[in-house]
Amino acid sequence: MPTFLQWLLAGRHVRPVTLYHILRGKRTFSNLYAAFSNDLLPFWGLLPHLARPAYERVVDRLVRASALTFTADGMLTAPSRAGQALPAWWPTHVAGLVMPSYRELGDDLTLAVQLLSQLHHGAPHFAPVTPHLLIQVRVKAWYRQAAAADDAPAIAALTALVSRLSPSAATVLTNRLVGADVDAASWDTLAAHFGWTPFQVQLAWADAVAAVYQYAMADPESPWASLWPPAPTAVTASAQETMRLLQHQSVAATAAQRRLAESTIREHVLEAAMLGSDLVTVRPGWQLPEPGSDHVVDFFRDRLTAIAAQRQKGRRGRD
Amino acid sequence: MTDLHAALQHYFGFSEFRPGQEDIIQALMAGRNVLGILPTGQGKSLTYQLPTLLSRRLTVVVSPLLALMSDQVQHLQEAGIGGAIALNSLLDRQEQNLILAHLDRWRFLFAAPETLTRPDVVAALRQRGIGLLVVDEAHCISEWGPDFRPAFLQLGTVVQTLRPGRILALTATASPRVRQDIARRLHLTPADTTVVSRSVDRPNIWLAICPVTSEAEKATLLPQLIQAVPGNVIVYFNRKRLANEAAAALVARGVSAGVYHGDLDPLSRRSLQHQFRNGQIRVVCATNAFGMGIDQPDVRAVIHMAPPTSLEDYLQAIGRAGRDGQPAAAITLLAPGDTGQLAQDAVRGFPPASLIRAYFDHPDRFVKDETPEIQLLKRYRTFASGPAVTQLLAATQQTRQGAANQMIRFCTAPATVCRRQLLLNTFDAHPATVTHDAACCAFIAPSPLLHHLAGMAWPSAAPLAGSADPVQSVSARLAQLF
Repeated sequence: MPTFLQWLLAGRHVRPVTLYHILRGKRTFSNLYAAFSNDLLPFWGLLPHLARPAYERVVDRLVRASALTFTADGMLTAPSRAGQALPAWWPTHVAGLVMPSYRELGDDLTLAVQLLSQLHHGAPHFAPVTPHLLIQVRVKAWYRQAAAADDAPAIAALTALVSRLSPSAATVLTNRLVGADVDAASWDTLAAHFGWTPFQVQLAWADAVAAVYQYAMADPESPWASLWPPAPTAVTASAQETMRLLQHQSVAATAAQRRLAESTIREHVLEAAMLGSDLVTVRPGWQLPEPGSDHVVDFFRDRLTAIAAQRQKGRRGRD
Repeated sequence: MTDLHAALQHYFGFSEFRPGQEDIIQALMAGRNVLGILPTGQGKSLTYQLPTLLSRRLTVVVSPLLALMSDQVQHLQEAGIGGAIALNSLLDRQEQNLILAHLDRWRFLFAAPETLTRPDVVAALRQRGIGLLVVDEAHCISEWGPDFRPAFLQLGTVVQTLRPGRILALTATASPRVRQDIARRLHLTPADTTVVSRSVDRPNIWLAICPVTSEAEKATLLPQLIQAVPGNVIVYFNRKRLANEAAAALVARGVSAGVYHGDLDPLSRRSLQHQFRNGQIRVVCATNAFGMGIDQPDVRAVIHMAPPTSLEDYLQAIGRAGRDGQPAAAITLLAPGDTGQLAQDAVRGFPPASLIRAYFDHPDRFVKDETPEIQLLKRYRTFASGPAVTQLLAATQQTRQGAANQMIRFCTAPATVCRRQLLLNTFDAHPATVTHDAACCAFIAPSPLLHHLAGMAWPSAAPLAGSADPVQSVSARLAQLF
């Protein structure tokens, strides 16, 4: 984890506790905003089981070693690594809020491959690697639909999906799969193989799972697309409902109709601005107080402008 | 009458029962409750599996550990016996509800005592009806304490509510006092209960207590012991960190070693067990999370890097050695601080009487208190009063201290005392007199210990099954999978 944190914080400024919550995926507006403004949204919920004492120990150690530093306002940062090539284990396909849980995706894939492999080899005794009943039910349903009649297309599609991964990601992913008389390589063994740490191998695994998921879901014809749930939307249903109402009425009316505080409605707007597909700017119909008359609303305006600017900058960067 | 041998052959492929198995099964088939005390490695699980398969009624197995439940379910699945499920916290509520709504689909339901005492579970099981209630590791019933679970105490109430057709209490180690506890808690009366007991003695296991001068000497001695034992070895530690460090040190010396403790994810646990079973690794450095449900016949030695917390635990652990009947060794290293630590651990975590009183007088003041002592009291409060809990915990503390003292006496008794006889006297209803000789047991210093190990008549060890490094190329891996 130490190297990961050094890379993650390179050129970024985040409070340590906020970064912890971002990595765990604790959804609050302030955590989302910190993730957005630091371009950390892809890493949202990457480490859902990260233990706080362990995280804090690593941060302390890195700060003592001057690998991480605190700014005057309590933000944690590390020297920029612009121009340096990312490590081979660095996650580049993770997508935070618009991705189901990596562990669940991995359990689905592992169990599906185990089932496919055992039945392909005619192995009679199926001992599912995951105890989760719903995953077992889901995978069995997938098998009946996608591979029971003929497993060749599913196997060929999996081979094709794996071939799109980087060599190290493909090695990690396939060596963590199990099947008839085939066992998973341990994290330690894979770490020794690559000269990485077990933590880095786990990151590479999560990224490989994310990549396979994205490739499969982008091709509705793939037999593997029906294995997984669709990608969730980043903007909550509640915020979407707020934005729908705000097309035709003011913030105050929307708050009254939804029996929510106006501050909550404004947070919904900021959430949609950060995570939605459209750029969001203040509309006259929202009937906000005049600039300078309410500092809380002014703060909201400033944030919305900053979000729009950052998204436009990001868009220009991509163009 | 059902031909049990034919059924044994049909379902499990065995031609003979192990000692005690048939007696238990016959008693169950005759409709009696059974208290079964069989040494580890004698196939206790089969004693409820076979009657279940023959009766086709639901069997509920109360099991203390998640890992044990998963192992049991997996063993059944690997044996081609379906209909087994573990109802535990690895499943979310939706999954649990699904199971409870369709109990008729299952033949074996494994559950922790906390799960079994839940009202929704009790209601569902009551409706379905239980043919056989199995309490696995039943000695736990009299082991309640600060790190244990009040739910075990409530099993008696559950038994009265569910009224299972028969009850089978299984354990490998139970002193007369523990047997009485088990019978009382589960309402087993002599009139309707058969006790099947086999001696805990495992004559093929040489017992050794080895005094050392320091923890550093233990670390130095461990690789020498591993080298002296030609075969598989399980090394028990009382801390995960120590297990990790020892495994890393052994690997650095070229020993094929792995580590196993409760922090490992299921795939890694499975991988470790698979590699150990297939001879890809020879040494497992573990905490006591590794053991229950592990049925590897050719473990040649079990080494305790510090004495376990009780003779029951000791007996359970060493029983994993020599299940093939061939010579094996159980070695316990004893440093000067170990007995003091054991005594301290025995009293740690018990809330003082003043805290119990304060909590029961004003529980609302402790709503946000998450200390282990208060967590324990919160659990007890669901079914007992303050004075009752005070009395209960005092008795429990005394029991734990007694168990620790017994273990300390076992370790520190004069060298002339036969440890095997001590074990038999403690656990066997009618202890035989042991012929104490060089192959029996010893209180022995490191050098003669190594000398003794070198002279043991070990069976020839199977060669290691190639490298422990199973990382393969992508194409090789895919070819192997499909």
